Amino acid sequence: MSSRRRVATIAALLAAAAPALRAQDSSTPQAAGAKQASRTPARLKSAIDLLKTTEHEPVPPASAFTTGDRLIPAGSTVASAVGVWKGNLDVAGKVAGNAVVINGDIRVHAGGVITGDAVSVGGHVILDSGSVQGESVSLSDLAPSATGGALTSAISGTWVAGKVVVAWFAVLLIIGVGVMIFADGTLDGVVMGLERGIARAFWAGLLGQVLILPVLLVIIVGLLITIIGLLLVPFAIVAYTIVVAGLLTLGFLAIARLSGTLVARNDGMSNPRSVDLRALLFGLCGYMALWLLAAAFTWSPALGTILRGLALAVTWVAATAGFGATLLSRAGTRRDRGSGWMAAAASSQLSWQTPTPVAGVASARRPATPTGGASR
Amino acid sequence: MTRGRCAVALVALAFGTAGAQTWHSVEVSRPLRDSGQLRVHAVYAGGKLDIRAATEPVLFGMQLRYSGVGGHPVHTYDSTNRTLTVGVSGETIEFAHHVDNSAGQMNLELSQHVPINLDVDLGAATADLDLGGLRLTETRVHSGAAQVTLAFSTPNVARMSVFEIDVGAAELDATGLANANASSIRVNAGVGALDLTLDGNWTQDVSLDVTADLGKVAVRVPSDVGIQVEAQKVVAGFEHPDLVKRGEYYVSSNWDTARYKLRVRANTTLGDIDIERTVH
Repeated sequence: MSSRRRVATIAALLAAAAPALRAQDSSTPQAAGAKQASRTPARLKSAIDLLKTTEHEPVPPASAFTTGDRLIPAGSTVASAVGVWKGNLDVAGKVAGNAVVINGDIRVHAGGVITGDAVSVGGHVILDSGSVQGESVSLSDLAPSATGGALTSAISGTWVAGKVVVAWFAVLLIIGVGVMIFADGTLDGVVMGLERGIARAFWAGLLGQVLILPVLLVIIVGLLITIIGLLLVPFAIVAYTIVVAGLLTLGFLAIARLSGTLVARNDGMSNPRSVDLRALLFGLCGYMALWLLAAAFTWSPALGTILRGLALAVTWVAATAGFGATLLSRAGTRRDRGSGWMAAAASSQLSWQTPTPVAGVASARRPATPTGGASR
Repeated sequence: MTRGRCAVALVALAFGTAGAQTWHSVEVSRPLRDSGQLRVHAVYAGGKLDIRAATEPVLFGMQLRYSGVGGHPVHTYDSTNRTLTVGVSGETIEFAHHVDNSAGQMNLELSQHVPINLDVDLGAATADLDLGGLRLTETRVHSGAAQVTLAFSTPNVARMSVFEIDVGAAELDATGLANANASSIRVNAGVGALDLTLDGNWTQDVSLDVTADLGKVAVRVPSDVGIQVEAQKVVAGFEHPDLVKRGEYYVSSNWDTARYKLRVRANTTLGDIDIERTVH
C-alpha cells in the first residue's frame, strides 16, 4: 500500500472513529461496566433475556454491556464478546467473539473483524470493508417472538377465534331467517320431527352420518356404470355435498329453534312467527355462546381445548339430532307432530278443543282434570 | 367501580392491540467460508417469498418482514450439520388462515458456490422461486394453498437427484425445468392449475411424474425432444395433438430419433392433461 493511500485510509478511519472515540473517552468499557454494575437498566436485562430466546449464539451478560457509543480501535483485540447498549459499535480492531448492540448500529471498518456473530437490535450491521466471520443479524426489535410475542399472539388468536364465532352466528342467523321466510313449513316439519322424539332423531342422525360416504360411493358407482352417468359424477359429488350440507344446516336450525322455545315461549299475544324467530335467535345464541366461551379462552391452551371440546360435543349432538329429524321428516315434508314430550306439551294446550267436523257439532267441553280421589 | 373500569380498559387495550398489526424486520447473512454441502429448510406460512441465487459472497442472506400475528420468525444455523432453517413458522403451515400478500415478505438468497439441498414449506403464500444458477442437489417444494412461480432461468450447476413439488390447492407455473439438471421430476397436486414448461438446456433424458386430483396440467416440451406419455385418468381430458398411440403409451413422431427424451406419467382423477410443443 502506498504511503499516501495508507494516510488516507488512516484519516478516513479516524474520521469515522472520532465520534465514537469521544464517546469512549468519557465512558471506557471498564468505567461503563462499573457504572452499569451499579445500575444496570432493567430494560437492558430484559432485552438480553429476550435476545437469548431469539438468538442461539451466546449473548454477553449484562455486565459486559457498555452504554453509549464504543470503538474497538485498530490494532486492538477484545478477547471476549462485546455488548453495547444504546449506542453504536465501531470495530476497527478485532473482537474475538460475538458483538451485540441493542439500539444501535455495528460498523465494521477496514481491518476490523468480528470472529463471532454481529447482532444489532434496532439498528444495522454495516460492513465498511471489515468482516464478520459469523452471522450478521439485524433485528428491527425484539418483538414479537420475544417482547411480549406470546401475549400478542394469544390476544390476536383469541380475537380471531371470537370473530370466527360471530361470523358463524351471523351466517347461521341469516340462513335461519331466510329459511323462516321462504321455507317456514319445511323448518316446522323438521321441528315436529324433533318433537316426535329427540333420542330417536339422534340415532337416526348418527346412522345418517355413518351412511353419508357409503351413499355417495353408491351414487358414484351407479353413475360410473353408464357412459352418460360417468360425465355426471363431478356434478353428482357437488350436488350431494350441497344436499348433505343443506340437510345438516336445516337440522341444526330446527334444533336451535326447538331449544330456543325453552326461553321464547308463546305468551298467547305474540304472532307465532315472531315467537319462532325469537326461539331461533335464542337457540342460536345458546349454541354460539358455548363457542364464544371457548373462543374467549383461546389464550389458555388447556382450558380453551376443554371448552372447545365441550362446545363441539354439544353442537355435534344437536346437529346429529337435527340431521336425524330432517331425515325422518323427509326434509320437513312430513309434518305430523307425533307423541313426544314436546308434542304432548304442545297438544295439551289444545286438548280440550275438539276439531269441529264440517257437519257441525254443537259444542265441546273441556275435560275436567282429576284431583285427589275425586275421579270416577 | 374503579376495578371494573380498569378491566374494561384492559380489554379494550387488548382488543385494540389485536386489531392493529405491527411490522418487524430481520436481516441475516453469513459469509461464505467453504464449499461444503448446505441443507436449507425455508418455512413460510403466509405472505410473499422470493428465493434466488446470491450475488454477494455469502452462504445465505435473508431479509424478512413479518407481522408476528399467527407466526414467529425462524432462523437457525447448525454449523455442525450445516443446516439452515429460516422463515416464518405459523401455528399451522398447511392451513394458514390469514394471508396478507401485500405486506409480509421474505427474500432468501443462497450461495451459488455450495451444493444445496433445498426444502421449501409454504402455507398460503405467494412464492417466486428463481433457482437458476444455484447448485441444487435436492429440491423439495411443499405448499398448501399457494401461488408458486418456479423458474430455472440458468442451468443448475449440480446434478439434482431429487426434484419434488407437492402442492395442495395451488397455481404452479414452472419454467426452465430442463435447466434443473434432474433426470426425474415428480409433481403432485391436489387441486389447481399446473403449468410445466421443460425449456432450457437439455443434457439428459427426463422422466416427469405428474399426479393431479382436480385441475389442469399443461406440459410444454420443445419440439426436438421425444415424448412418451403414459396417461392414467379417471375422468379427464387428454390433449395430445402431436402424439400417436403405440402400445399403452402415446409417443411423439420423433420418439425414436430424438436426442433427448421425456417420459411423462400423468395421473389425474378429474381434470385435463395438455401436452404442448414449443419451438426450441
